[in-house]
Amino acid sequence: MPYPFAVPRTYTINPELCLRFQEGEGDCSKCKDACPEGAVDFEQTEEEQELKIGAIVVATGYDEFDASLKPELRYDLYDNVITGVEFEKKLLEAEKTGKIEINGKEPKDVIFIQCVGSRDKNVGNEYCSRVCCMYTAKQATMVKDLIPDSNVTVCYIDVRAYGRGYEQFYENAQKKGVRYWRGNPAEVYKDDGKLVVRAENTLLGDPKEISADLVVLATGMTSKSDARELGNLLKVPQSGDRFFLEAHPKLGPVNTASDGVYIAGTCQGPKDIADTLAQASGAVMKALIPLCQGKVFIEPITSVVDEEICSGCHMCEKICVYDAPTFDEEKGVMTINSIVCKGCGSCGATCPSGAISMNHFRDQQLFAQINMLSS
Amino acid sequence: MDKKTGVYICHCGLGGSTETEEILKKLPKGSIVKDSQYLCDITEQELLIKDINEKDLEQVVVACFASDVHRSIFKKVGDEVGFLPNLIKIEESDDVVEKIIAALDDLKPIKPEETEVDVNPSVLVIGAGIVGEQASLDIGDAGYKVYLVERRPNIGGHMAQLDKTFPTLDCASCIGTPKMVATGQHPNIELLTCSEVIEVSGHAGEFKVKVLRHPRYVDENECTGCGICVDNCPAVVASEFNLGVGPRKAIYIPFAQAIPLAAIRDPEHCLSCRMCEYVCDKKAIRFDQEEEIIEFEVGSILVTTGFELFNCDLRPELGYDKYDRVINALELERLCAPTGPTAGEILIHGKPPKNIVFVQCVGSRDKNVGNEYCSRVCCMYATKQCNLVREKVPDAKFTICYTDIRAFGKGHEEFYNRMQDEGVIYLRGIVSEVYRGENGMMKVRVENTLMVEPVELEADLVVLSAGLVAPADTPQLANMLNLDVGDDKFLAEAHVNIRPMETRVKGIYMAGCAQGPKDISDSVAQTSGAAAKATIPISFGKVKIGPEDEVKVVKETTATAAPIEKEVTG
Ligand SMILES: Cc1cc2nc3c(=O)[nH]c(=O)nc-3n(C[C@H](O)[C@H](O)[C@H](O)COP(=O)(O)OP(=O)(O)OC[C@H]3O[C@@H](n4cnc5c(N)ncnc54)[C@H](O)[C@@H]3O)c2cc1C
Ligand code: SF4
Ligand code: SF4
Ligand code: SF4
Repeated sequence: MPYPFAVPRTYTINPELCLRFQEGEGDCSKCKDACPEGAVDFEQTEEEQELKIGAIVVATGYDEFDASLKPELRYDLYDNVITGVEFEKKLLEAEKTGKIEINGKEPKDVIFIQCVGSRDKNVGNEYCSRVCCMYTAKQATMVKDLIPDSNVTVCYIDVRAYGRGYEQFYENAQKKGVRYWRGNPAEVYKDDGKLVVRAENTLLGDPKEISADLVVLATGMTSKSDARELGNLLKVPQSGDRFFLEAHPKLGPVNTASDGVYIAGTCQGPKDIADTLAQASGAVMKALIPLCQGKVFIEPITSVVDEEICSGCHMCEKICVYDAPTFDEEKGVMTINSIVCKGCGSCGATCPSGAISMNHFRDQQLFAQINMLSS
Repeated sequence: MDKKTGVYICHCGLGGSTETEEILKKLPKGSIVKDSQYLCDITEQELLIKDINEKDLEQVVVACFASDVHRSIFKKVGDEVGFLPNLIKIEESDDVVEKIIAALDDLKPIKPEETEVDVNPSVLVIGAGIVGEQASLDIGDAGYKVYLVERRPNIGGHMAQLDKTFPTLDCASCIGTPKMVATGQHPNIELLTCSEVIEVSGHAGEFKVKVLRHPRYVDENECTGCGICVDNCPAVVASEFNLGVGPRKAIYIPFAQAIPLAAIRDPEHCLSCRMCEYVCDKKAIRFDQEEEIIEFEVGSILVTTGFELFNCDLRPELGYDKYDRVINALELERLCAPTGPTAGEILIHGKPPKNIVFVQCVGSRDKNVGNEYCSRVCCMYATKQCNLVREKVPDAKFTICYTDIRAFGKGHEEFYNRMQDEGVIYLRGIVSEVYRGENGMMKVRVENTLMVEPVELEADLVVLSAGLVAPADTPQLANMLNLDVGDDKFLAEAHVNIRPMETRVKGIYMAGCAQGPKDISDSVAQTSGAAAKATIPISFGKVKIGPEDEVKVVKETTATAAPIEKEVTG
């Protein structure tokens, strides 16, 4: 069980670690023998289930930025350079024990580095991760609470405390003695056994070196590593930042290019819990509409195949991303499934025989418009 | 205190451990005190039920960190044993033992006195900005009736006043007008403009609502919006929609795309010449129209009353009331808009401005004016406005004086970077004063943390990035609906993190800027979310309510004089 309040509250066997699943390790069945309910089942295999549903909500979340992609911060090298998520676990332990320990010692000089893997074109993530300023403010405050005589410094570009109560929280951190230092850390290295953060203070313009015994990297959010595969499966494209692309940033923030498929939360872009939940319920509303109605409306602009002309070459089938053209065995021509067709016109442009036209959007109409404009 | 008591201390949000014996000493015989890790977990609750039954506990106290959100979680316990645990909020700094003992002294039993009631399949939406419109469309599309109450003569809210919108630079009218039209035409949406809610009673599933409809003095159904009355009206005043940048008549249509497209007469400025009545072919002018009270019932209520712009006069050192070269950001939107009073031409003292300085955080992040919060949109709208002005005045120079640039939304950082690449200067510093130099140009004094000496910038136009504040009547509205107001004066949600659209009253939800500043994307996502919350009980047809869910009628109402006078104030 991954953590004590996991849902469903069920144990899982990791076949990569379980002796029974390792070749030549015999057939240990200690867990099975011990379980009074007889719930352990080694025979379980993958199974495919088919579900009929009316709408899909994608809420697959994010991956944490891999800090080793910023080698100058030496995350891989030093064990007292850790990520915000790792520090969160330390703080959870500290809540119980009342002590923060890094390598068996209480850190006295703690430096937080903001925007690791965010707002950084060099790693290909130009966007802001939207939550790290605040989780750092929280962590920095907790360090000050637990180790009052510690020196806590946050190196930042802008502090983005925009949500309800965030500004007060940020101010409270400063009041507790957390130092906010505007600067871009260029490097973390070790000198005489102690970490040194070299950073350029954008306010004063001169580089500075601060030593630390703990460096916490406020790593950002990135899109899920398998977002592309899932996107292809559901026909939901990704935007430049690799998060899922909404139909319209303002009017359709939870809709996608595929009707009936909605996105919510950080799979669409970084956001905090409140904004994620608001968006999640938003996606629910969109999914509810067709369910309440029992019917959906389809776009009038779809493509049609002229059966007289179609040669059955399947070119349109290959080009269509929505799988709208299918081959009619009987007639030997293609037909268009107008429910899934988006009317994008790709098939029409591809068809070597000129057999495809778009309903309400025929070539003659376009030519008439062009003539009109050019005359 | 003689009842057999069970005390459960949940440590999930608290950490540490408690001296359970200390508490047990003070309890009657047969009582128990237990530490627990995750009491909201279903197995732990089953253990709790088992304890109650086996040990015949007569009352149960659960001490935890998030007592405000967890009441509903213990429903199962209530159903099984006939009473609900009393929840006590404990914070890390509290003396747990003391707090629990103190609470035990004055413990009232909570019976799960819930009744199931039918849900009226309709929703009241208060405020018809983009947020109210989108919620109404969602609920209407799901097949339920919506009463959309808007105080102004037309719907659209602030978005109708914007030129283009960040970060994609979509034209606000191009994306806003179709929404307004759809709202106006939707068969399930009953639009009540010039109207205010004046009384609400009842409970989730069945709220009784009273709406005061102010006279428009024009029959909305007859008026075609031809504007002939407007052309002939002799009385001219400043247009509120254009924030005084342009004029309007005493009978007027606020803007060309207004929905409903009908004229409205402003009795305060009307000369009673009756010219309008004379020229109107449709005989739509109604001098005898009176206030009207409309009553109906709804199953849920959604509050989407938006924001007001911070009044820049409250920062006198910025010279907003003194100099006409100092304007607020919404005025700049009207100046840039092709549909605005100047048809998009930006002229300051007859000349296009060449040196524009933006002052960020005016009325936000500023304890002196009582607004500690960040307004969330001004960094981006200032960035956008540089682009809008540049389109019209290509050689203009822009400086944005800021503290932090908060470009956190999707595509925002990219847009901010682009504007930096295109030459907009972002100067980190706090503007302490704006005054007039000898040559008549404005001087902006910036306390730049970079330099010891403050810098002085010259500008022919200073734009104040005014923050978003809660509508002035939010306290009255909150009072009428029995809602809470936050320190920032916006309506308070049931829980900041996990119940951002719910209020303390079951069945009343909120979205958009009424709950706190946010941009259109975040507002629209949230409003569909609130619409879902409002729709779910309706689609079930039944909702469970307890005695505390009843809305108490408050006689003090939000209704004021005619809506025309207190229409757009910025
Ligand atoms: C200068 C400026 C530029 C901006 N630019 C952008 C941008 O480029 N991109 C972007 O995403 N966002 C931008 N914003 C933010 C955007 O305006 C808001 O996100 C959006 O308008 C919020 O909509 P709303 O419906 O919540 O509020 P509003 O638009 O304020 O609508 C609220 C409605 O409720 C009505 N109302 C209020 N009280 C009552 C009552 N008691 N009874 C009945 N009706 C009531 C009001 O009359 C109004 O019609 C900008 C804001 C400003 C100030
Ligand atoms: S591309 Fe044209 S000809 Fe070829 S299969 Fe498709 S419709 Fe037929
Ligand atoms: S009666 Fe009033 S509104 Fe009508 S035209 Fe005369 S001044 Fe204008
Ligand atoms: S969005 Fe920017 S300008 Fe507006 S209050 Fe926040 S930090 Fe200040």
